[in-house]
Amino acid sequence: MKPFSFIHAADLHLGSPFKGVGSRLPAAGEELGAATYEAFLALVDLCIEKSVDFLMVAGDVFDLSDRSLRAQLAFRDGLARLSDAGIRSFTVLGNHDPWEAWSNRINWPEKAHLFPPDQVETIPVSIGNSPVATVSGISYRTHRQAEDLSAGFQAENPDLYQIALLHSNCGNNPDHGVYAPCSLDSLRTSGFDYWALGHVHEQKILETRPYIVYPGCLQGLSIRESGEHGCWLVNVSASRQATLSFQPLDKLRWRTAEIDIGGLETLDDLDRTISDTLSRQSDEGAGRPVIIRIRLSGRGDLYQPLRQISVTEELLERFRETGSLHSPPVWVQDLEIDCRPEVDLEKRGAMDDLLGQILRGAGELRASPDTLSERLMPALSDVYQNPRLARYLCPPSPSELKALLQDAALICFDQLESEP
Amino acid sequence: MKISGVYIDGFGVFHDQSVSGLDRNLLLFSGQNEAGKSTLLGFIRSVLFGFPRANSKDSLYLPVAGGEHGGYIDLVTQSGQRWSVSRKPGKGGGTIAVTGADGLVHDKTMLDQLLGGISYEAYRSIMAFGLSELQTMDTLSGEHIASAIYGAGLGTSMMAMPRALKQIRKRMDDLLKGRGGSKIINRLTGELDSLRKAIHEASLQTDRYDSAFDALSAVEKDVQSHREKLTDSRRRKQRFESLERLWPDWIAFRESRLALSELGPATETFPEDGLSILEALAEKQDRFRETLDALKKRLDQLSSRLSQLPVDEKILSRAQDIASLVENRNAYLENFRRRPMLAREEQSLQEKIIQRLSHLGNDWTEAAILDFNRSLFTRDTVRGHQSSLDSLEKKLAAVETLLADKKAVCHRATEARILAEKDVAAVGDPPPERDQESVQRLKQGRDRFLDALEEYKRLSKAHDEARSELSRLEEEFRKTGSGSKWPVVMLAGIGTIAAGVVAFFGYFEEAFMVMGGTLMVTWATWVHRKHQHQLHMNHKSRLRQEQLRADELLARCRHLESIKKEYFQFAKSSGAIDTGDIPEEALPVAVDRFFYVLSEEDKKRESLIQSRRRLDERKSDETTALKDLEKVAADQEEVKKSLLQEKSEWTEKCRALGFSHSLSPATALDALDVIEETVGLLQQRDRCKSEGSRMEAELAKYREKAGEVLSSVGWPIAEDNDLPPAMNELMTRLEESRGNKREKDTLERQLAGLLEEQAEAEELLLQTEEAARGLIETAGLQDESDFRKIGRIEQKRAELLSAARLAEGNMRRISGEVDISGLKEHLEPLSLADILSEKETAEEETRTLDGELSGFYARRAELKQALDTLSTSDDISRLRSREAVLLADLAENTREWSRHALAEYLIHQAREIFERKHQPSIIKEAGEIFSRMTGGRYRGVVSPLGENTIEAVDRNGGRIPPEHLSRGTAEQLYLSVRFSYIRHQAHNSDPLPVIMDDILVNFDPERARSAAGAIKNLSETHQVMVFTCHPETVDLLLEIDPALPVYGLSGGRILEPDQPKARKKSKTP
Repeated sequence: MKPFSFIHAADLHLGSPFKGVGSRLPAAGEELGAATYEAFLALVDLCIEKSVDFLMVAGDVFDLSDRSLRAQLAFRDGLARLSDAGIRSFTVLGNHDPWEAWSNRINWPEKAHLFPPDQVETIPVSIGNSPVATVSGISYRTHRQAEDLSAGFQAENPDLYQIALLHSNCGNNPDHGVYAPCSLDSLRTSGFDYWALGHVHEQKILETRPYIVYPGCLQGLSIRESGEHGCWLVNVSASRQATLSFQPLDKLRWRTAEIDIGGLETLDDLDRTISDTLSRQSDEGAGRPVIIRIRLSGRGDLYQPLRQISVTEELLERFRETGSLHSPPVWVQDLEIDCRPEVDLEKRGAMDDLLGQILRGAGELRASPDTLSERLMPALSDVYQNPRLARYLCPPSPSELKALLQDAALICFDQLESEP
Repeated sequence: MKISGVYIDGFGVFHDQSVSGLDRNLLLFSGQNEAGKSTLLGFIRSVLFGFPRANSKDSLYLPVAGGEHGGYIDLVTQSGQRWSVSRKPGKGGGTIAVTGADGLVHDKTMLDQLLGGISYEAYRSIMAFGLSELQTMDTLSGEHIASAIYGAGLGTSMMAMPRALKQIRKRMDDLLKGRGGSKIINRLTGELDSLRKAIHEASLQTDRYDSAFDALSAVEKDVQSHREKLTDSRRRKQRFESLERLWPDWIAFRESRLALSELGPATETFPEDGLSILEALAEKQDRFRETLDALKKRLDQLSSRLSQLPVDEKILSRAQDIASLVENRNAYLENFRRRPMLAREEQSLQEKIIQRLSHLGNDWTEAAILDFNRSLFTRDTVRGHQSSLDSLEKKLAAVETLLADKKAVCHRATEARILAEKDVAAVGDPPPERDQESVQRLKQGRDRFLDALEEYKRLSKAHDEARSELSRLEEEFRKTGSGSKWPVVMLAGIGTIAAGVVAFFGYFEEAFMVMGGTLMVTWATWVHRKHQHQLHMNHKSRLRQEQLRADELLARCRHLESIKKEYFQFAKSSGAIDTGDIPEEALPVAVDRFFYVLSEEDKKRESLIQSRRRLDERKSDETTALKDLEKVAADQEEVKKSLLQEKSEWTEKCRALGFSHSLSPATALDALDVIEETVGLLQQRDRCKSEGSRMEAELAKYREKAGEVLSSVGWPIAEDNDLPPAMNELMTRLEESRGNKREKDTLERQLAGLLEEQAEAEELLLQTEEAARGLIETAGLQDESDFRKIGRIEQKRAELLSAARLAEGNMRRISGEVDISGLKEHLEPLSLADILSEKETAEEETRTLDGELSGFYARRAELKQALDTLSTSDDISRLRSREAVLLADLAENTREWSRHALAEYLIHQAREIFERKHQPSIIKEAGEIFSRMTGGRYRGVVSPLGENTIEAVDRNGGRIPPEHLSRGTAEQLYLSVRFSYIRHQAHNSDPLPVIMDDILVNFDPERARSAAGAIKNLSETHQVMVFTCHPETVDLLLEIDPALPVYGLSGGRILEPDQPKARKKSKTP
C-alpha cells in the first residue's frame, strides 16, 4: 500500500457569533466576525501546503440556526480551491448543518464529496491507480439525530485503510448535546482503522487502536473554549501506521488570567501586575490576538475599592486600552471580581447584629443546597418568571445560585459594614 | 418632681391668678371651651421652657386681662426640695429666675438640671401634650425621641440598613423596572425582541437563494426567445424605414425618366458641355481685354515719373570723401575754437612759475626746482624735528604750570593746619562720663510713673464714688429689712383663738368662716412678707457686689502708690533731682531737665573728637604737598635739557637741505609745499604747449582735403569759417542724388515687367478667340446663336440624366443593395402610405418586444444582484454577533440584578428575625400598655428595625401601620408609646409632671376607661394633670380615683377644687 496523508477537521461553525463577549469589547468586533472564516481558509491553505491526499470534515460546517448562505458558499469555494489543487474532500453533516439546512442549488466542486443522509456510503480512495483507503460516512438529515449512526458502518475492505467519518457524541458525554450517541466499545470493535469524529469542540484522542479522534473546533468561540484549536494532520505509512500531529489554525485565542490581590496594596500595584500579565499573554498568543478574562481573587487591601463599580469599570477600561496597544493585541473581555474582605465572614456572622444575622442566614441557605432554589427563586421571580425575559435567560443552576448568594452576602457586608 | 403651685401675672385670659397645693399625683382641671385649659398648659410649658418666639407656630398667649406677661411655678422635687421658677419678658424666651428655698436665685442651668436635660420638643411631644400632638406620628419622630424609642444600641449595621436597602433597590430599579424601556434589562430585552425578528428574516436567505436561482434560470430562457423575435422584428422595421427614406429618390428617378422621354433624340455632334465651354471662353476673352487696358495705364504713369528724377553723378562719385568731411566737421570746429584759449593758458602758467621761483629766492631756477629731492623722506624728517621741538616745548610749559599749582597747594595746607590747631584749643577739656544703666532706667520709668499718676487719680475718684454708692445701698438695705414674722403668727393666733371661742359656743359654721377668713388674711400677709423678703435679698446681693468693687479699687490704688514712690526714690538716688522736697507733679519736669543736661554733655564730647580728627588730617595733607612740589621741580630741569639738544640737531638738517639755518621746521615745510606746487605748474605748462602743436596740424589737414573735394565737384573753395556749412550743403546734395537714383532704378524694372505682361495678354486673347471658333465648327455650326440654342437643349438632357443617376445612387446607398432592379419592381406597386403603415406595425412590434426584453434583463440583473448579495451577505453573522453581545450583556445585568435581589432578600429575612429578637424596651412596654388599653385586641407594638416608625401587632401577629388604624386606636397606640417613654425617662432623672389636654375624646368608653386606668397607673410614679372639657372624662377619672381634686377653670380664673363631699353634694340634684 502506498503511504498517504489526510487532514481531519470538524466543527468549523463558519460565521458563528462569539459568546459572552458583550458590548464592552467593541475593539475586537471585526476580528471576531472574520475569525471562523479565516481559520477555514488556513485549513485549506494547510491542505495545499502539506499536499495531503484528502480532507475530512466531520460536520457542523455552519450553524443551523443561521443557515448562513455566506458560510455555505465560503465552504464550497474552499473545497473548490482544494479540488483545483487536486485534493479530494469528504464531508459529513452534523446537527448544526443537517442535509435539509443546505441550499440545493450549490454546485459542489468535482473532487468534493458530501455524504448523503439515511445510509452509510463508502468511497474508495486511490493514490494514482493504487487503491489505499476507503472513507465511509453518513450525514444527518435533520438536526434531530437520536439514534446511533455508527451501527450502520461496515468495514468491508480490510486490505485498505478504512476510515469512518461521523458527527457523534461518543461515550454519551453529558457536557455535550446528545446526537447520534455511540459507545467507545462499539467503535473500538468496528473494524475501522480511523474514526474521524466531530461534535466535541475540544481536541481528543479517545483511542489509538483504532484511532478514535476528535479534532475539536477550528476556532474557539467562547471563554469556555480557551486554548489552541485546529485540526489533525494524519500520515499513514505503507504499513498502515498512522501518525497524528495537531495543527493549530485558530485566529485568536481565549485565555483566563488569575490574579491574587493578596500581596497588592494599592490600585497602582494592581495596575502594574495586570499590565505585566497582558504583556505575557500577548507573547504567549503565538502571534494571535488574545481575548482574556481577568479573574481577581483572594483577600487584601484592594477588596473595598474593587467592590465599587466605578473603580472596576475604570480599571477595565484602562486594561482594555493597554491590552489593545500590544501587538498582537490582548482584548480584555471582562474583569471577574472574586475577592473576599479581610474580615472573616464566618466570624463576623457570629456577631449578634443585623449583619451577623444576614451572614448567618446566607450561610444556612448555602448549607442546604436541596432547598436553595425553592427558597431563593421567588426572590428572583421578577426576572425568571417574566415571560418576556424567560425567552433569553436560563434560570441559574444550583452552583450559579450559590455564587449569586455569596455575592449578595458581600453586597450586604459592603453596604452595612462599611457605613459608620 | 411635681408642680406645687402656680402664679400667673399675665398670660392669655389669666391675670393675677395663683393656685397652690398642687403637689399631688393626679389632678384634674375641668372647664368649658375657652375657659383657659390650653392657656394653662401653654403657661406651664412657657415658664419651664421659655416663651415661644414671635414667628413660632405656637400661640404666644399675650396678656389680655392685664399684668406682666409671665409668672412663676413652684416645684417640689422627689427629695422634697422646693424651687420657684419665674419667667418675665426678655431676650431668648424670657428672663428666668430659679429661686431655691434658701432664697438664692439661680439661672437657667439650674432649671435644666431640674428638668433632667429634656428638650422642649420632647417635653411638648411626650409629657405635656394635647390632642393635636397625640394624633400625629410626627411628634414621635424627632431626633432625640426617635433614637430613644426606636433603635439605639442595635449596632451600626442597623442604622445603615435603610440606606442599604434603598441603594440596593435603586440599583435593581436601574437595571429592571416594570415595563419601562429605559432600564438596562428592559432595553436589552426590547432590542433582543427586534433582533430575533431580524434574525428570523435573515435565516431565510438560503431559501431565497434557491428561489432566486430558479427564477434566474427561467428568466434566462425568456431572454433568449425574446432576443430572436426582436431581431426579426427589427429587421422588418429597418426595411420599411429604408423604403421610407429612399421614397423621395424613387419619385425623383421616376420623374427624371419621364422628362427625358419628352426631350426627344439628342444631337450626336454637339460636344459635351459645349455651351458651358463656350461661355467660359467668352468670359476669358473679356478678362484678357480688361487686363491689357490696365497695363497700358500703368506704363504711362511710370514713364511720366521717370522724367521727373535728376541725378548729380560727380557728387555721387565723391560720396565717401564727402561723408568723411561731414563726419569730422565738428572736430574741426572744436580745434578752431580751442586753439587761442590754449595759448592763453600757457602764458598764464609761465607767469605763475616765475612768481613761485621769486618766492623761494634768487638762487632758485626751473632746473634747481626739478633737481630738488622731493621724496617723502625729506618731508617726514622735517615733520619729525617739528614734532620733537613742539612736544618738548609743550612739556616744559606743562611742568612749569604744575610747579605753580604745587606751590599754591603747599601754601593752603599750611594755612588749614594752623586753623585746625586753633579749633582744638578752642573746645577745651571734655566733661566727666555718666552711668548709662541708671539713665536708661530713669527714662523707662518716666512714662510708667506718668501712667500710674493718671490711673491713680482715676481710681481714687472711682473708689470715692463706690464708697458713696455703698453708703446709699446700706441705707436702703437697712430700710427694707427682712421683716418680722410675728404679725403673721399673731394674726393666725388671734384667728384661731376667735374661731375656738366661736366653736366653743357651738357656732361651728361661723367658727369655720372665722377660721377661713383668718387663714386668708394670714396668707395675704405671708405673700406680702415674702415679696418684701425677695426685695431685701436683692439689695443684699447688690450691696455685696458694690463692697467687692470698692475693695478692688482700693487695692489697685495702693499698688499704684507703691510704683510712684519707688520711682521718686530712684530719681533722687541717680542725681536727677537734688532734694526730695519737690511735689510729685514736678518730678517729670525735673527729670526732663536732667535729661537736657546729659544731652549737652554728649554734644561737647562729640565736638572735641571731631576737631582732633580734623587736625590730624590737615597735618598729613601739608606733608604730602611739600613732597609733590620737590618732585615737579626736578622734572622741569630735565625737560629744559632735552629741548636744547633737539634745536641743535635741526640747525644741522637745514644746512643739509639748502635752507637757511634760521628756518623753523614749519617754514621749511611751507617751502617744500611751494617747490611741489612749482613742479606741478611746470608740468601743466609743458602739456599746454604740446596740445597746441597737435591742433594746428589737424586744422591744416582738414582744410586741404575740403579744398580738393570742392574743386573736384566744381564748387568754389570756401574760407576757414565757411568750410563746415559748405560740407553740409554738399552732403544734402549727395543724399538727394542717391534717393533719385534708387527710385529711377526701381521704376525702370517695373516698366520692363509690364511690357512683358502686355505681350502675354495679347497672346492669350488671340488663343481664346481661336478656341471659340473651333468649338462652334466642331458642332457643325456656323453661328454662335445656333450653337447656344442647341446647347441649352443638351444641357437640360444632361441634368435629367444626372438627377436619375443620383436618385439611383441614393436608393442603392439607403437600401444597401447593389442591384436595385428588384427594389424598383418592389416599389412600383407601392405607395408611401403603404410603407409608413408597414413601418409603424414593425415599430410597434419591436417596441413591445424591446420592453419585454428590458423587463427580463432588469429581472435577470435583479436576480443576479440578489444572488450576489445573498451569497456575500453576512447579515446573519452580524445579527447573531449582536445577539450574542446582547445576550452576554443581558446575562451580566441579570446576574447583577439577581445579586442585589438576593441581598435585599437576605436583609429582609434577617430583619424579620432580628426584629422579633431585638425590639427596643420602650416599644416592648408600649406594646403591653397598648394591649391592656385595647383589651387584648392588639397584641403589642413593633418598630420595624431601622425605621423611625411603629406598627401595631394584632392578635394574629399581623402588623398594621398607624395610618391604617382607626383614629382612636392610633391615638391609643401613640399614647401607649408616650407612657412607656415617660416611664423610661424617669429611670434617669426626676420624673417630670405630665400634662394631658383632653386626649380621651376619641376613645370608645371601654378603651377610655382602660386609658384612664393607664393614666392612674402612670400617676403612681409621676404627677399627672389632666385637662378636660368633657364631664364624661371627669366622671371616668373620678370613678377610678374618687379622691381626685378637680380644679375648675372659668373666665380666666382657676377655681379651687371642691371637697369630695361637697362635689358629691353638688352632683346630687
